[in-house]
Formats: sequence, C-alpha cells, structure tokens
Amino acid sequence: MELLKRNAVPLLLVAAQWPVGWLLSQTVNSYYLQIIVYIGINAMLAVSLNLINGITGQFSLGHAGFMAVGAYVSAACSLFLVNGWPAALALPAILLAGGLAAALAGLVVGLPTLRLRGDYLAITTLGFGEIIRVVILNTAAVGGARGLGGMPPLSDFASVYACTIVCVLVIWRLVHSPLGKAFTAVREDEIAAAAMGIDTTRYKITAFVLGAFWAGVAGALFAHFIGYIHTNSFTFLKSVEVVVMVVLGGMGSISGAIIAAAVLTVLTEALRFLADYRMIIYSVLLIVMMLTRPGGLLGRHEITQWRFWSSRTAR
Amino acid sequence: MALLELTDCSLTFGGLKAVSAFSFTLDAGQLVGLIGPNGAGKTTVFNLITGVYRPDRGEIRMQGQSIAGLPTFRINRSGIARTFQGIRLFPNMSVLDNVVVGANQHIARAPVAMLFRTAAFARHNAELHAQCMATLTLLGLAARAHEAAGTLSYGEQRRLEIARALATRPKLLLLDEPAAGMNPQEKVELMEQIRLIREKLQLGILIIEHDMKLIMKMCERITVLDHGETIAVGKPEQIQIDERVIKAYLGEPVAHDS
Amino acid sequence: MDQLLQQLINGLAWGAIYALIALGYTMVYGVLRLINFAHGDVYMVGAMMAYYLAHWLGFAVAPSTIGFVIVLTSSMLICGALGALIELVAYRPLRNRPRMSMLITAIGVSMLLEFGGQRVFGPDPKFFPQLIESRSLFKAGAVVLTNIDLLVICVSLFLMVVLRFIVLRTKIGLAVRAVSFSFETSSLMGINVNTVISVTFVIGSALAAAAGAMVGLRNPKIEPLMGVLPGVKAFVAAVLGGIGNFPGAVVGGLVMGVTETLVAAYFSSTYRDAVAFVILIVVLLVRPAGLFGKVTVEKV
Repeated sequence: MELLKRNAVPLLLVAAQWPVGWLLSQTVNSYYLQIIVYIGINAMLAVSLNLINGITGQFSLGHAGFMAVGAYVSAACSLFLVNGWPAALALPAILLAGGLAAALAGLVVGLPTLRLRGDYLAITTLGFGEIIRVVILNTAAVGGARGLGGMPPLSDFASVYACTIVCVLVIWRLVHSPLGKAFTAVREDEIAAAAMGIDTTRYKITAFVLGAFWAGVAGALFAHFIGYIHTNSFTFLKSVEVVVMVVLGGMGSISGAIIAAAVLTVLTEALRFLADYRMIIYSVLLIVMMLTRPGGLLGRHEITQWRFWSSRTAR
Repeated sequence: MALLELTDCSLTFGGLKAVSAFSFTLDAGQLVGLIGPNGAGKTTVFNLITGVYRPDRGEIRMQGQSIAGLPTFRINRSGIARTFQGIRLFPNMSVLDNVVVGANQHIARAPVAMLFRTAAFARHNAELHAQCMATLTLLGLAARAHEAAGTLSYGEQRRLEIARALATRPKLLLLDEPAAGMNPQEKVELMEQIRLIREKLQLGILIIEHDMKLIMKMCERITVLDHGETIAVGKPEQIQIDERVIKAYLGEPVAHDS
Repeated sequence: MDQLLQQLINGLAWGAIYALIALGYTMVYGVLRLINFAHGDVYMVGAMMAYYLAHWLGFAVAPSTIGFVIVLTSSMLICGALGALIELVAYRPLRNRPRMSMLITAIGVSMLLEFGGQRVFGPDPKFFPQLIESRSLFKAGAVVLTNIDLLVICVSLFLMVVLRFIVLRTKIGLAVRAVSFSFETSSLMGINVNTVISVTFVIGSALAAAAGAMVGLRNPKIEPLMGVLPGVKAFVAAVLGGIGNFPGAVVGGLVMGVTETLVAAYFSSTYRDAVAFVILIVVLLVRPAGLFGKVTVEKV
C-alpha cells in the first residue's frame, strides 16, 4: 500500500496513456498520430543513449544497431514464437525479448571495449551497427534484403508512451539515486572515481547495457507499430539522428533529450521537402553546436532544477 | 601488525628509476610525512600504493594482505583513500554529491527499492545524507553542500577532496600536498581539521607536503625521498639536522621554510 | 595453392591501402588523442578529386603513367589542404575542451563530407577512368600479378619511406614526435604546436588521398560513402598495430587486408566486412595496446 502511494504519480501517468490514446485515435488523423508515436519512440532512444553518452560520458554510435536487434528479435518472436497469444501477453513478451537481445548484444560489444579504452567505443559501436546490418541482410529467416513483414500491430500510442514513461522513470531514478551518482562521477573524472572505490568498468557497462536494452525495446515497439521492418530503418544515419538529439538537448540532461527528440521528429516531418539536405543539416548542427554551445540547449540542467530534486531525495 | 607495509618496492620509467628499493611501514593511527625535493618520487609512491602503477619489484601489504597490482578501486575498498596533487573533483556535481560518490561502496545495492523508492530506500537515504553532511561539517564545508564543486575556492576544493576520501571510510588516508595553494589562515585550519579527523576516526595518515612548518609540527615520523631513494627516516627534530636532507634541499634552511 | 597466392597478392594490395589510411589515424591520434572520424571521408575526397582531375586534365581519354602521377600528386595536395582546413575550423577551437566535444565534431565533419559529397558529387557511383591500363606482369599457373597491384604496393611503399624519412630525419618530424610525446612540454620548448598539428593533418590527409586515388585504379566504382568502411577498417588496423605507432599502422594495415581477403575467399564474402570488427574485439581483449604499442597510463 505504502509502495503504491509512493509510486502513485508514475502509475497514474502510465495508466492514463490508454484513455489518452483512445481520445487521440478519435480526434487526430492517423498521420499525426504516427508522428506522435515516433516522438515517443525517439524520446526513448534519446533518453537511453543519453544515459551512455551524456550521463556516463562514454560515446556510443550504435544505437540504431541495438534498435535493429530489438526490432528483428521481437518480430521473429511474434511471428514464430508467441503467435496467437493474446496481445496483453504477447506484447510484454516481445518487448522483453527485443530488449534482452539488444542488452546481450550490448554486453558483447561493451565488455571488451569499455574494459580498457572507452574512446574506442565510438568506432566499435559504429562497426557493430554496420555488421548487424550485414548479418540481417544475409539471414533469409528474417527476410534478408526483402525486409520482414506481417507482424501483428501489437504496439500503439498507449503502449509506446507507457514504455517511454517507464524508461524515463527508470533512468531518472537510477541516475538520481545515491548509488547512481557514480555514473556521473565516471563522466566527470574516471581516475578519481576509481580512487573512491568505484568499479568504473562496471558502471560503464551497466550504462551501456541498460541503454542498449531500451534501444531494443524501442526497436520492438517500432517493428510492431508499422508492421514491416527493413535494415534501411536502422542505418548509421539513425544512430547519428539519436546522437544529434542528445547533443541538442544537452549532454546529460534527460528532459533536454526528450524535448530535442520531439523537436527533431517534428522538424524532420515538417521539413520533408528538405529531405536531401537533412543529413547535411544534422552534421552542420553537430559542428556548430559543439563550437558555440557545447552544453546543448539545456546544458546539463533538467527542467526541474537539479538542486531541488537532490535535496528532496536526500531527505 | 603494520597497517601499511611496503617492502623493497621499485619502479622504473624507461631508464629512470622513479622509486628504488623503497621500504616503509605505517601503523594504525600514525601520522607520517613523506617529503623530498620536486621529482623525488613522492607522488609515485602514492601511485604505487593506490594501484595507478604496479611496482616492478617488491611487495605492498595492507593489513597483511598483498595489494600490489590490484585495480585502484579494489585498493580503495581495502581501506586506502587518497587526495590528488592536481585536484580531481567531480566539478559539475554538487559538493554533497561528491561526498555521496565517495560513500558509494557503503550504499546498499537494492535496485528494486531504488526503482520503487520504498520507505527503506528513503530511510537509507536520510542516513546517508546525514553522514555525508557530518563529513562536510568536519571539514567546514557544510554551508557549501549544494554548490557545484568546481565553483569552490582552491582551499575549499582541497578540503572537499579530503571529505570525499573520508566518505570511503578508509583506515589509511593519503594526502598529496593538502596545503598547496592555501593561505596561512587556511593552513592553520587545515592542520586543526586533520588533527581532529585523526582523533575522531583513528586513521593512519601519510602526508606529502612542501610546507615544512606544517610537516614538522604535525608528523611523528618523516621519510625523506630524493631521486627515488630513501635518504632519511626519523622524528622531525632528527630530520631537521640530517646532513643528507639539508644537502638534498640545496642548503635550504629546512625548519624555517614555508 | 595458386588461389592462396593470388589472394595474398590481392590482400597485400588492399592492405597497402589500409596502411596508408591507418597512418593518418595513427598520426592524428598521436598528437591530439582524437579518433579523426573524418579521415575515411578524406580518402573518399581523394578518390573523387583524382576522378575530376583526370577528366579536367584530359588524362581520362589519353591515359598515361605521367598523367597518373600528376593526378595522384594533385589530389594529395588538395586533400592535404582539406585536412589542414578541417583541423583549423573544426578541431582547433575545441582543443582545450573535453575530448568528447572534438569527437562529436569529428563525426559532424565526417557526415558533412559524406552527405555534402552526395550533393556535390552526386549519390550514384562514378567510374574511375583507367589511367593506367591493367595488364598482367607475371603469370604462374593461375596466379596473376597485375601492374596495378604492383603499382599500388610500390607507391604505398615509396610514400611510407618518404614518411619515415620526414618523421625520423627532419626537424618537423622531430617536432611531430615531440608533440606526440607531450603536448605541453613541446610548446614550452618553443615548438609551434599549431604548425605541427597542421602538418600532421596535411601529411595524414595526403596519404589518405593517395590511397583513394589508387583504389580508383583497382576498384573503379567510387561514391561518396566509399570511405566509411575502409575508414573503420584502417582505424582497426591502427589499433591492431598499436595506435600512435607508425610501423604498427603499416603492419596492421597489411594484416587487415590479407585477413579480410582470405576470409572473403575461403569463408564467405558476405562476412568480409565483419573481419575488422572481430579483429578489433580480439585485440581489445587480448592485447589492448596493439602489436607494437606500449601500455600508457594517464598521469595523475
């Protein structure tokens, strides 16, 4: 009971997504609804990458790769394994399958890389993203170059946003807990953190694997929202898009990442006529941001002031 | 049994003997000074003890357990905490959070409680908060708890490094030039604080410092290094008149240097 | 046996290309501790410049060896300037910021070259003119050594010797080594660190451009994204050899090229690109400092 009371707000927030989703489906046309769902998925990607890149100070460039793993594993799962299950059971099953598969991939990539040279992570994850695409393209069982379709539409606005809220909540509570402050400490000064008894490798890997998990969940939601997936949705460009969201929102700011995800998703749709220039705009944005506002738009701050929060949790 | 014991430790960088055949013991509750001219190998000794470097030869024991070659965080967990000569705080985190990070290994690992913010979690947090604030009070930093560590003055940053190290609950504290950059007033305060810490926590303390007045006043024993070699060991009054020490400092009047 | 020999020749030619690119990574990492993501794309620009120069200067229709040499050196000069420009605009202002900032900018520059390249050069593959007609120099059974393979290997070798001379025997080379050793000390010793870093970028980029122009001869299909994978592979080659170590980069590149070709020939060509990744993981697990590298500890 006590537990329920302490978590009433997030629980209500999650539960509210179903009526809100129903309301939206009655009032908003399907194109806009799709964009709204993409905002949720991208927010989940941005917040989970922010845990790795912004808060822990490592640099992953492979978020799309983990998303792909989640999408394909969950799709295979719903097509071959939980086919015919009721949606209320099948959905958690495929989300978990996608997330865990991506987390496992994250562990395989992160363990050797993060153990020693954090600065190699960028190139390892870049390589991983490309390799995973090659593997999928050459695996006939999941459609290869034809792509994979026929997944039941298990995810919708409500499930996407419920998951996004849970994702944000988990990461927020983690990094703002006394134990989780070590993530930020690793970013600030790895040597000092280790001298304070912190197993820095473990924290880096935890951040990386947890980030990969949520990217996998996002991939699973994506796959079961549009019902057809192809490796073209998970290229290096998608990874860069998520990086741009994190940088724009301010490395380390969770609320910043969410806002940036929403803004960029809408802009991408609104500026469709500029599609050919999109990646050029992104790249210039990255360079200019780093040269002029390296802290991102929000810096390291959250919308809710950090000081207010830390004094409240400490009490 | 000695708290810390180094036997015959050597380390070379390329051809340079940074530390050679260094033997040293420190008992619980002792305050020992490590001095020597610049480049004598003092910080290298700290780095050997804390696992930044691994000795080429020799043995390092903490309460009888060999720690040479262990990763830094394990050595800290065996009860050795340090401060850094070039300050290495977590500059964008609050003063309090710096200390909370220091306490990391003593925080209960309960992911479920953390995620659901249970009553036990809140209680544990409150305790932790009180402990960390007490540590900050000890070093006169309580009023600054919620400011970013990077905004503190130089002297305050040095003291925060000590507070953060204490939060790991060490049995042995290594202080690398804790008074560097402090004004005379701050130095007096620092000496008082170190004395207090030692009394309260029964710590062994090994201190590197260039301020001879401070060293001579506080330490019960001093080891002098020059070119990686131990040239003298003894009580402050013995060190002050030791010819090799005086020569190493190029005739500087050791006792009156500040 | 014949096939093995043939694959070795192919592997060495590719390896020489990787080695040239890897040298640039290693040099820049040495002085700036930066993984210069844009380096693979400079290699692409090198190939593109060679393509356009060959057409503008008329060598595309009248191939000749001298034409190739002119195209190659001009492309190297242009890319050398490009490298210096990238450093000046995108990296220099960030030198005192956290390393992460520079890494992000490097990714930005890389993408700008790739997608800017798609706008400027067009996204479709171009066919590199046959500046030198391919013929077999040597034939034993099924083993063929073409003049192109030999040319690639010899030119690479020549450039490496020149680089070695510059680094070991000239004043600027000494300065580059000094800056790699310690940034601060070098500047205190009166070395103009900015000049040294610019020179490093010029040399590294010129080598990448040479690799790009020569790849055009062997694999004529060139396009704006052609630098991505060779870039990653060359970086892995540099890590394999020990990042910051020049001979290491060359050996790493050759090992990379040969391994990759052999895997493609005997195992499966689809996993050709996965080889680099596997090598990287294995190196990081087994010998993180690389074959010739030394373990370095950050000074505290």
